[in-house]
Amino acid sequence: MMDALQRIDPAAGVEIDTASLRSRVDERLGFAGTFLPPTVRPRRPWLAAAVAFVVVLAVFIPVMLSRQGEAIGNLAIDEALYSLPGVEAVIHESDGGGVRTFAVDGDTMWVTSALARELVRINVTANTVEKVYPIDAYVEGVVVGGGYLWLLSYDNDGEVLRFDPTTGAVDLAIPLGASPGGAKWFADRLWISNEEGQLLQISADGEIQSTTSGELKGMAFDALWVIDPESRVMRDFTAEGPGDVAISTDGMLVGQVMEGGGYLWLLDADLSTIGSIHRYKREGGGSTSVRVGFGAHSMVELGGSIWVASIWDETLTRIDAATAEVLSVTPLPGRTGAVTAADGSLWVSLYQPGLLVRLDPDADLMEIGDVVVDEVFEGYRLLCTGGGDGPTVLLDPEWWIGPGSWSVIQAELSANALVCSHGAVDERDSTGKVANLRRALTEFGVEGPYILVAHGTGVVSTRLFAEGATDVEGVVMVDPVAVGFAELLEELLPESAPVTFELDDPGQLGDLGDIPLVVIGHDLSVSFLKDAFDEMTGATPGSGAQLGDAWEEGLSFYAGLSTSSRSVTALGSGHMVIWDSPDIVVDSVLDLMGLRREPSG
Amino acid sequence: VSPRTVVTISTDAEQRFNALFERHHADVFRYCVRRLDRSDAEDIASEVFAVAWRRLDQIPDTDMSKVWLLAVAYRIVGNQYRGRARRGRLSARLSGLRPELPETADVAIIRNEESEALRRALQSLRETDRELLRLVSWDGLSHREIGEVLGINEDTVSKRVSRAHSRLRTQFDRVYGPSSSTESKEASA
Repeated sequence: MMDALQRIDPAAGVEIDTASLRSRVDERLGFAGTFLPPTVRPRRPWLAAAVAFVVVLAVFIPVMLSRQGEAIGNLAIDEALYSLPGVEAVIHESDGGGVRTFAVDGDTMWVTSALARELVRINVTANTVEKVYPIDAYVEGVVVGGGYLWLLSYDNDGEVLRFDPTTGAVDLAIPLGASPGGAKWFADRLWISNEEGQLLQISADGEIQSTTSGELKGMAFDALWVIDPESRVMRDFTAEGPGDVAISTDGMLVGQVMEGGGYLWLLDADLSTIGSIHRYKREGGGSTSVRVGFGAHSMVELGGSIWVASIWDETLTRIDAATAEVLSVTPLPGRTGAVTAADGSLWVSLYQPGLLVRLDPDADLMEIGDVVVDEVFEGYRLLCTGGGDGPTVLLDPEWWIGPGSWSVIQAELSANALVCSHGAVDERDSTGKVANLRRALTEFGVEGPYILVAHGTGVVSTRLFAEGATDVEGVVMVDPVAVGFAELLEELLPESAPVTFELDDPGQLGDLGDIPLVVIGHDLSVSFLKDAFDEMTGATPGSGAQLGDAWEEGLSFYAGLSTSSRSVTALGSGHMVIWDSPDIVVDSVLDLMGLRREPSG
Repeated sequence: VSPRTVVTISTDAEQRFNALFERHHADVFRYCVRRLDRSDAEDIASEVFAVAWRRLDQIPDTDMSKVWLLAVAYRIVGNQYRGRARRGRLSARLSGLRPELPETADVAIIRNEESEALRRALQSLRETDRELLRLVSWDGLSHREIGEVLGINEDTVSKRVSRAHSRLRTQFDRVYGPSSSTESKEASA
């Protein structure tokens, strides 16, 4: 068979153009020698759409697995978040995941929740939700101007909805001809671009006054900043027309432009890679690039710092606006999608689990000790905090969430041990994941022995890591996904169901011998799988119960992998035990370390 | 100003890098062309050497330098695959169809019936198995070298190669029929 394989080697007979290859290498080295840019390859127009789809997947799957009827609003994470330094308030502004966008108007913050189809009015001085308005549209974007709110809807091939806050209703829908891009209220009218590269000017009464070419990316220095779709040159733009500044954005996927510390800042919104923001002088030129987290998604200026939310590795990066130096990287639990400033505080939306967190920018926020951003690993992150003489704790997330999701647990455990959350977003190749982890541990001197903690699908890579290892002192599996669950789910889900569910199959794995093991299961008595799966997905009645049984069998199977195991049920918790009941995970790890948490109060 | 002139490099480093390129560019390119189409292969191979330049001091000064380069190529190609898979899922969602696996260069060359069966069997395996078989059969690496590329120990490589081989055999027999499989024919020849 091996001989036969050699006969079908695709490289056989392929001629190598050495000169061409060398020329390409030299071209790359030219870039590398100057400033190591994160993006030397051309961007592709499908990227934003592809990323949007990944977002949809990442939203639906956790909703399916973690929703417990109406109980979702009472996640323990609401309380647990207060244990993180700098957290001033936690507001559950709407149910479920999905993209949030902000507009701040004095003491009022307007928040759109795309999947919940809601517009939420928040009083930022009282930290309260004042009113929730249902909006019959998928909205990603909100602008205040002319006495109205302007909602950017992706429905009906793209439209902007005029919302009257005095009546609490949408009173006008203006077709955009394509999905909305950037929007700003400027010179007494709404400026909004669409994905066809058209820039529309709309008066407060809803009349389209002009349509020109351009992609609106933001407002800074009393001007709009607009990219020419053909040349990819960005110019400042006032009501009188284009100004003198010209900045090439070729090779970037500019998501946001703003001013801060007297500079112009561009956020490169390529969510498929380690993020970056770029600083320019007001008049253009003098660019400086700063690497931030994986999937940089939004930024804001506050207190002389630029704060960047990165959605995939779930971090908030603080950069000194004057020096462009990274000052801190703070992990937050759940998709750290959007950040804004209001009432002197930072407001960060955690798309999952759907919470708005108010942070004191002057507080000593939790920081990551070492941030591994390595081009070879391409997005693989190892976020380490704490220290100690005992074993190192490795936290392994599910494929759809980032390492920041562990932050509450990580903060608790860091008092007793070196704790590293790790992973790469959308990484479902468990073999590759373990290889990356081993290399990162070696390269950055994170020594064992290790206690492995895995959530959900992370159990696959954790078992691979433990297979044959002599440096593993204990394993905690947090609601591990049952072997064969993906296949069963695929079998039971109707074709019309809005999700696919893929899991890496590492083949047959061995057991854990006598390595101490704790298996934490979610509360199957209130499990969404049993209660509402059939209704939500349109599956044949009984399907949810069948999945629940499979999950239960999976928990028993995992408990049988070690001769020294015990099982724990996180009462009242859904699948997201790391958010719902972080204390149980902390206690389980401490127990393996022979420690106990100090009783609070 | 050509790109090279803005790079300040020491003569020693440049000489070492040039030697590395001369010695291994063919292996790196072949590694890539076995897994990607030709235009992507050249792009990724050049990226591998760009990484090598930045990390020149970490590259072993032995025969293992090739393995080091292939390990980098493995990571970069893996990311390329994942990007394709994401796009595949997007296309599938838009068209209402199930996603297809990305078709790699190893598809194009195979013509005859048995090779076609082998190709189908290979394609039906999961990517981790395919990669192991490619590394053994096409890139000609030892189990120890594969372990370095994938970051796993040699014993684990041996076990997994053996399993991958069994799974390929099973899939091939399913497609082509056990009585006429390659090894049966080879044995009777």
